[in-house]
Amino acid sequence: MNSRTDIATTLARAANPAERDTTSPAWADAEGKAAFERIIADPRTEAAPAHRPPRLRRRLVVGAALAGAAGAAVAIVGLPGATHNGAPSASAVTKNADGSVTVAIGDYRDLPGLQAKLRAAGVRADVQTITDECAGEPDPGAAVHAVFNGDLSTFTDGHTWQRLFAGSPDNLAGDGPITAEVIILPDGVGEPIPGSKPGPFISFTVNPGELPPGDTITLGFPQSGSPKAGQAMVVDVEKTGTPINCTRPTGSAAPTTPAPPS
Amino acid sequence: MGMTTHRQVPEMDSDRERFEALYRKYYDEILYFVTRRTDPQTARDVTAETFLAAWRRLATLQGSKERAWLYVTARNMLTNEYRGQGRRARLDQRLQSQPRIDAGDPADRVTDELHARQLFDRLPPKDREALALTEWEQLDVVTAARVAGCSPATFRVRLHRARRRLAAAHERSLSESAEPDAPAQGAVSLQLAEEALS
Repeated sequence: MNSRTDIATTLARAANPAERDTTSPAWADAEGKAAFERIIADPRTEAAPAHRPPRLRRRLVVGAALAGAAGAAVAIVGLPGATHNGAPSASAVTKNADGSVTVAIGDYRDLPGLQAKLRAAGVRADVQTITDECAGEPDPGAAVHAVFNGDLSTFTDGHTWQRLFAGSPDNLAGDGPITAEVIILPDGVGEPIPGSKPGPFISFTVNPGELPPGDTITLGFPQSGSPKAGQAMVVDVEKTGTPINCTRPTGSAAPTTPAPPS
Repeated sequence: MGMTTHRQVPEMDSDRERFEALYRKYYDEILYFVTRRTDPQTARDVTAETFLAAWRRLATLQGSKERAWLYVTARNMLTNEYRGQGRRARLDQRLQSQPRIDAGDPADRVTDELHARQLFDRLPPKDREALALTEWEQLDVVTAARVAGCSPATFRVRLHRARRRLAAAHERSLSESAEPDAPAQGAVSLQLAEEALS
């Protein structure tokens, strides 16, 4: 039997532009050895500092203009109020002229406050905590991001998803009906990906009028209540009363534990 | 001074041994990862830069995550390389696993391979990245997700979609090749291969 997965696997492998030659390892050829000698001769004086400046810890990869394509803000339902050590406070919920609502989340504090702001803005939303398993294992070296899910029974049409989140960063509104994400770059691994716009928030725009009847937007935050690097928050659109979907698509295997390097 | 010297020498030897093991284990893997996305000489340079970064950060590299760290660092080194070369406009496309096809590719390249590349190239960048990390680099989902900067579950979704789209594109090409006067040799050839497999 020949499934689509098999066909895709065969095609993808055939498209590989450079098959690895395992008979003559490149690390052992003249260029590989010379590079090795040059590297270990480096005095390592440019080692990364042990403590990185906080500003590098969270960068939004995708464009995240708060009003964005949704138009100018006309009513601010909730603003980041007092600052916390110079950083924006927990969240801001902004009503835009076209009826859309932009949500900006600076950290994971004050979840009841966020819930109240969303309700005041007319967004049918449920803010709750999620398990660490759902948010991902804490991993300071990994990307922090918001994962967006949608009910497959509702979002069978990509345009539905795009209308609901119109005005959001491109890869959220343009990535189809099932799931999308706002990614914050991992720290210490180089420059932000070009085209990205660094920003302090996880930000997205929702159009309440496009939320299907009977559906609720659930915002899930790690139980710790702090934006630990490597843990995602989850934005899930499901039938009201449905437990939050921890990004596992229907029919997929359960997440596996990280395999040790082979 | 004397004590300092005595303490540093074994530490440096140990570092060198650990780094050498890392280098032997992953140099080729990273080199191929980069080679698939740029020209051979740049690939060597970027790989060396990646391992230089690893050498400088050896003390902070964790064994269980060093592989993903190398991939992410190599990816970002490529970003810097492209930026330096003033090719920023093409960066996203290239970085998302657009396979390099030189003008000097042999004219007699297998038809199936060309067909597969044509289909692959038409996929959205994220689809290409998911497939490349999985099928070319042979990364497990957790590591590939880390390289792609998303959660494992999200990566699974991307991979599922990418496979579905690639297979669908292939099926469309088969339909088109079945049309009179519209032969598509690669598609036909792959169809024969599928029939042989099934």
